Amino acid sequence: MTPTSHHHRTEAHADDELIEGLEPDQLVANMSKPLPRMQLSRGWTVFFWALRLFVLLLTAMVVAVFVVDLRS
Amino acid sequence: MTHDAFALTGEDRERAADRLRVLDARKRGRRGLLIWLLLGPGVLVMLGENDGPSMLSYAATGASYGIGFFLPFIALTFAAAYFVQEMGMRLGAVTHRGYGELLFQRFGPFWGWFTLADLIVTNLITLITEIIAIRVGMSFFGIPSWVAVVVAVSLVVISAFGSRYSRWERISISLAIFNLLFIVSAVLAKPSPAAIGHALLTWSPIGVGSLQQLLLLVCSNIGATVTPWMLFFQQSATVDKGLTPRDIGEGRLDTAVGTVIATLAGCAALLAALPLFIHHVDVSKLTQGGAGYAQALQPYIGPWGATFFALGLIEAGAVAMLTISASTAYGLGEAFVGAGHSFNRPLDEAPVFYLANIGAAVLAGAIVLIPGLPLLQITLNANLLAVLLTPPALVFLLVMVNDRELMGRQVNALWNNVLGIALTVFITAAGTLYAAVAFVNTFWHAG
Repeated sequence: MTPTSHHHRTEAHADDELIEGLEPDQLVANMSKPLPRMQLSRGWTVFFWALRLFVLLLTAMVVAVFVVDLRS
Repeated sequence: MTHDAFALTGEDRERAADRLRVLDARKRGRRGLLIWLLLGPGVLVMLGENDGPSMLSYAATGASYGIGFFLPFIALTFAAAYFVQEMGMRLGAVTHRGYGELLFQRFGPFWGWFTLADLIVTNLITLITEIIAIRVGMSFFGIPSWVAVVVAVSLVVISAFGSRYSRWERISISLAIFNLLFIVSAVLAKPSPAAIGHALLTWSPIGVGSLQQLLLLVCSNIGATVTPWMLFFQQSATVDKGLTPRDIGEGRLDTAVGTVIATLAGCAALLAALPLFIHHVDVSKLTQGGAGYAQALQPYIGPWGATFFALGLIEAGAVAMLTISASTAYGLGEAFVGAGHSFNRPLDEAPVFYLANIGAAVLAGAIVLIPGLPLLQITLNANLLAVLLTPPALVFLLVMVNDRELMGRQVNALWNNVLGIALTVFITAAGTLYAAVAFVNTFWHAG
């Protein structure tokens, strides 16, 4: 047995023990697979947009106050 | 899915080694060791959120309004934080995916980038305030400003390298425990136990001041406990640590322990600053340059009390530098399919992750060094921005944690949803009220 093949066999043996520590879904190979896209209903899409625009409006108001405070 | 089809990567090996210790402790019934091994993301997220601007907000609250309303209010906001973070931990343990990853994959890149942009903006501003807090704390000891920047950035760089999540986590926890220094300062401030008891029972007195200032402090205190970066961080750290559905009980305990410690330290910061309220000290300019609160408190809580307060501020800023930079790294790393996003990977396997982690800290440090920057105003508004941008992130969290396809039996219970919706409405209302009052006061009454 060459040192290289011994090294590979030792590593494979160590991996067999280590792999018991992880759930299959925790393997990087499995975690890297993208999940399917959720089908958003029209109602959710409208709600997300409304909330987003509302938040942007509030942020713009607060930034405007911040800028005026700085100038004064 | 099975184990057989795949070879282990380096990241798998690091995580599996940690997990084998957890499985062994569980098998042997060693409950104490099991809790110790699974402690981490919950404690870190809560103590990381007791950051520079948060502790300064609590101190400003105590100095401006006393303890009447705000002491129980701070405790309530931490209870809300526990509730939100438990959902994120559960989502991470069940799906083995970070918050950003799920957002991009389930809702698509449009909503993913929108929410990620919120995270990057609020994190950059918050990181700036962390360095300001370190600077303010260090200036109490006569240390120049540039040292604060170097220390803050160096800390992020040094802790990131080592390619091991557990190493990074334990370094961060070792630092975070010094958040309890605020309790020493609070004890030295000698607050009245009767007044504390009265405040906790009656939520009064609420104190006097303008409505705008009161709302700013209410929002600052909410933004000190429930923020977008916390969602990104704890869920991703839960995945990086390798928690599984079987560990959810310990994950809850971890989050609860963090909540209790952070509540005590946060309330302590408020109590430590109480002498400034009692002696009517003007605190409006304390965080701008100089040694700020620690110096102002010295005549009332003594040199040791002031020293602990200053050290606490340095710690608060330093730990938040680590956790908030990490949340930026997780968020950006998860945005790109196939890009590594784990502390268990070396730099060449996760360049986006490490670049975001260190780049965020370097950029914040460079901004702080710009002469004439309005540091006081940035500090006061950092938590406010988090309040405004949190509701969309909470809505996405609630949708995902109710998704049976993702969560299976771990889906939210009815009471989780009722509380989650109530909290989202409350945070939205608080932000809206402040924005409306401040806008009218600035552009209407001033005109």
